[in-house]
Amino acid sequence: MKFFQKMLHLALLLICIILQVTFVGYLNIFHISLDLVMVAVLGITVYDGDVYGIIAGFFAGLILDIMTGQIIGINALLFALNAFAAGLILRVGFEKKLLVNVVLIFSITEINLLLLTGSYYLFNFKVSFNTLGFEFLTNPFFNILAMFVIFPVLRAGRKRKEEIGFIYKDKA
Amino acid sequence: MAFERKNVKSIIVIAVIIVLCIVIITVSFRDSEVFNKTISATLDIFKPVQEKTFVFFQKTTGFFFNISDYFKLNDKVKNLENENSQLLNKYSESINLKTENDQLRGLLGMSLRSGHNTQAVRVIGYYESGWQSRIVINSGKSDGVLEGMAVVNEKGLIGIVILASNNSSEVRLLNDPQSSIGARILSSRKLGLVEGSPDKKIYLNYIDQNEDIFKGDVLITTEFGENMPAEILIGRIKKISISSNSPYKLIEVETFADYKRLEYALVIKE
Repeated sequence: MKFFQKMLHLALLLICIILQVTFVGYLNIFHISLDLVMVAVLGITVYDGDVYGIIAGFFAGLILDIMTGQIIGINALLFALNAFAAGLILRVGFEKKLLVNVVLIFSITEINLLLLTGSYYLFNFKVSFNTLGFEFLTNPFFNILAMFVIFPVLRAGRKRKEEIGFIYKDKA
Repeated sequence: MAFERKNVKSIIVIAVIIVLCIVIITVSFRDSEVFNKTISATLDIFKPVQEKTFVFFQKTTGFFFNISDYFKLNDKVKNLENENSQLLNKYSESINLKTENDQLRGLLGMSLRSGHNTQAVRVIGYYESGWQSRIVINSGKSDGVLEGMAVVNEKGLIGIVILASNNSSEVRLLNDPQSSIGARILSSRKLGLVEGSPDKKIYLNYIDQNEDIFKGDVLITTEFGENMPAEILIGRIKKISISSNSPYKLIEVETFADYKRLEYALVIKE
């Protein structure tokens, strides 16, 4: 069951990658920028554990890099680090509550933007500080909105499993 | 105890991944054949899903574009009326020039410029971020599309093919920060470089501050590009400003092609 659930989460991650490449890139025209893959990786870390999140983040980032990236490997590294950081924060003792998730998404989005911009700057890419400033404001907001869609989907299987477990115990 | 064991496990995994990523970044920058093949294969694998998803969402975004267009209709009609009256004035002048040009070419024994060998393609992906502006098209090496070929539509140049897999290709749009194309100002014949920027504006660079450049001047491609055919429309000059810090004018260019609504395009093969 756990394996099946993890496979489902991987499928969701794959859907997020496809949406990120096809649809979310398009949304940038309307100045809506969000990172569905990052939110999904964090969700997987929260619900499936950090080791699984790190590995999922690495492969998701790598696919994203191959399909759209300028520097192959940079998103793979960042998503893996995101999952690691989220795992540390959760393991310190924060509960899996809504506010914790919101703060997690907000802080990791901002750190991600900084790291990504820094990496591209080091690789001699042109950086627009106006665009960066705008993304600092909008990205966390839209990512948090995406969290409200992705996290319940990731949690859905878990809830069902708990219910089944409870019924089973009852019958016994 | 269990907490520490789990912590050590995740530290080992992240350490391995960091090393792996550093290797990948280094190898990818060396333009290795293995990487190019992997990228091509990935693009081919995702092509069918990407095509279907993009076409589906294109209709949704098209709906939002229509709403925003509705509120701009008045301004658009006024602009088009102005442009139409200017074009009508130039039309008769052009007919005379064309007749004269054909006669002179006949006298000199010069043949007319031949058309290009093109491949019609459909846009199946659009990706815009602070670092890039790209589209994916549904033709690749199997259709004769190769890296470096120009992609145009009825309004002019869109971009250049930067990666061709078997059945799909990635095109770098003109407003991509990495994009740089030689351009000629049609009226003055002056040369410059049309370059993209992170804020998705397009600039004509390396035009001296003493040059006479006017708003509305039309830009075309130059004859010096290796794979780029000459005299393809790029856009017109939208804004000219002068900076005391630079010896060149800051010239913003408005393209004729609207990248947001690209559905079909042509790849110029020869």
